[in-house]
Amino acid sequence: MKGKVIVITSGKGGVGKTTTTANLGTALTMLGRRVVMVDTDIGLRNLDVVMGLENRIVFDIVDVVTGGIKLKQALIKDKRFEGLYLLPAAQTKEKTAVSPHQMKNLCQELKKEFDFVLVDCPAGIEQGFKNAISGADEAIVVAVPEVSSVRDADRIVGLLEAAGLRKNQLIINRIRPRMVKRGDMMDIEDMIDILSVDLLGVVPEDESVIVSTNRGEPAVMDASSRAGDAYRRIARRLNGEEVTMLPLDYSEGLVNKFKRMLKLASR
Amino acid sequence: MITEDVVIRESQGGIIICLDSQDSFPTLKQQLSNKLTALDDLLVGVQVVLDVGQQKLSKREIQDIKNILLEKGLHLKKLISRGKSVDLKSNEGLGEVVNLPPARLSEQEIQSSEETILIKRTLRSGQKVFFPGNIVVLGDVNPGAEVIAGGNVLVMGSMRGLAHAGALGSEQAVVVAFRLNPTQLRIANHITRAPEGQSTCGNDPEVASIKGGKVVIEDLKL
Repeated sequence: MKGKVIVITSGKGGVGKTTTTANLGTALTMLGRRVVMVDTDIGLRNLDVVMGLENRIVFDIVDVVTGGIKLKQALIKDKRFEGLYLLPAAQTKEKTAVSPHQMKNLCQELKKEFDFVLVDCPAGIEQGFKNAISGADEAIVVAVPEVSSVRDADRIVGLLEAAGLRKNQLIINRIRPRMVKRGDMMDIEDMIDILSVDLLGVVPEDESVIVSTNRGEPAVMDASSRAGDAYRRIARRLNGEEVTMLPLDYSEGLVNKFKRMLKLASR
Repeated sequence: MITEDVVIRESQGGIIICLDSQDSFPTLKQQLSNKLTALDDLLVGVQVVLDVGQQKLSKREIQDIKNILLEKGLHLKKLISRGKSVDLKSNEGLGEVVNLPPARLSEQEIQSSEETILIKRTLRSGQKVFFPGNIVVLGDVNPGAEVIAGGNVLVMGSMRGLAHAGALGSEQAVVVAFRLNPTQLRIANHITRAPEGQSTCGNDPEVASIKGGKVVIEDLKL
């Protein structure tokens, strides 16, 4: 069976594309699938850092498409999970070092070997974006509940549709339930209303993501992380299961709060 | 067989660019420019020996090539032509011009020398320095930056990025830094990385070298 190529994109920078890629990749592997994450942010690579694999890079995506390096030599095996691989971007080159055509061939090649090919797209709508989407079967658009992010996401959905990508799903990242409840933040319905794409999941703002990112360990590995829980649910949906949305229960409940405090204390 | 019109070869102490083609000069110029652009800023500061083969080039055309090289930060050190295709008299001020019988250029024609370049700044992520001789950095090398030398690498600061000493094969090359804490360290064809977990980098200068087929890091003792 052939795998799926999913591009993770947003238009706007800093909304969590790389974090989403790392977490979904890890969570899908935890579900027993074979996953490769492709970093297409040439010149500003981050996915290797977030995964804690930076010091293992010898060859990168540019070496593969132009330098005659075999794909197998450039793929970095994750240090924790069997069946999880990273194809890093080059840091000292530019976006133009890879062409959409080369990227398409690369994705075709990876599809044969893996169940999921997650392509981490750079911010912007220029060459890097065009490269990233050229081999994709589906897209995940990441947006945060801010007007500017939604505006950019809308532009991106338009470009994806123009490029012939029909299955575009939305992840709303870094939502703050309390602010939404107060009416200070755009709520989920508003965003779906504007973007009119299917909602794949909602990820709450969670400080543990920052900690895990700095440590090079995706949040899904932390059982107590709320964002990790949200990403695990999204991964199960991608894997074809029906999963309920993470309850954005604004009041945490005394028992849960107590549990969390205990957990924090024991760490 | 496909033959390339512009061939760039690395050699000790510099590079050789061979323009061996029957193509018209504008095409050749374009190809040279493309090729150098593809190489990025990898070669900045490197000396070039230009082998124009049996082509007849005017002074103007050679000046054009020189300008292309200068744009990329390369210095023309020596011009080699085959069978007197370049008129010596008309090429004053173009540097050393040598006429050779039509034969292939041997690597020995470029003097082997252990030259050293000094980089007086901090190298940041995405910046890359290549030099066939030694490299001395007066500053730090941050994660994501690359220092690749044919000889030794000396960092008068923190080495946190990628260092490659002896990149052309020399196992005698060493990497020295005031704080040696690289993402990845390479000497000749050995590749190593720091062990997982907390970095154990001390506060003293350290030296990495190959001993008994392994990369070993020791305190720098002079």
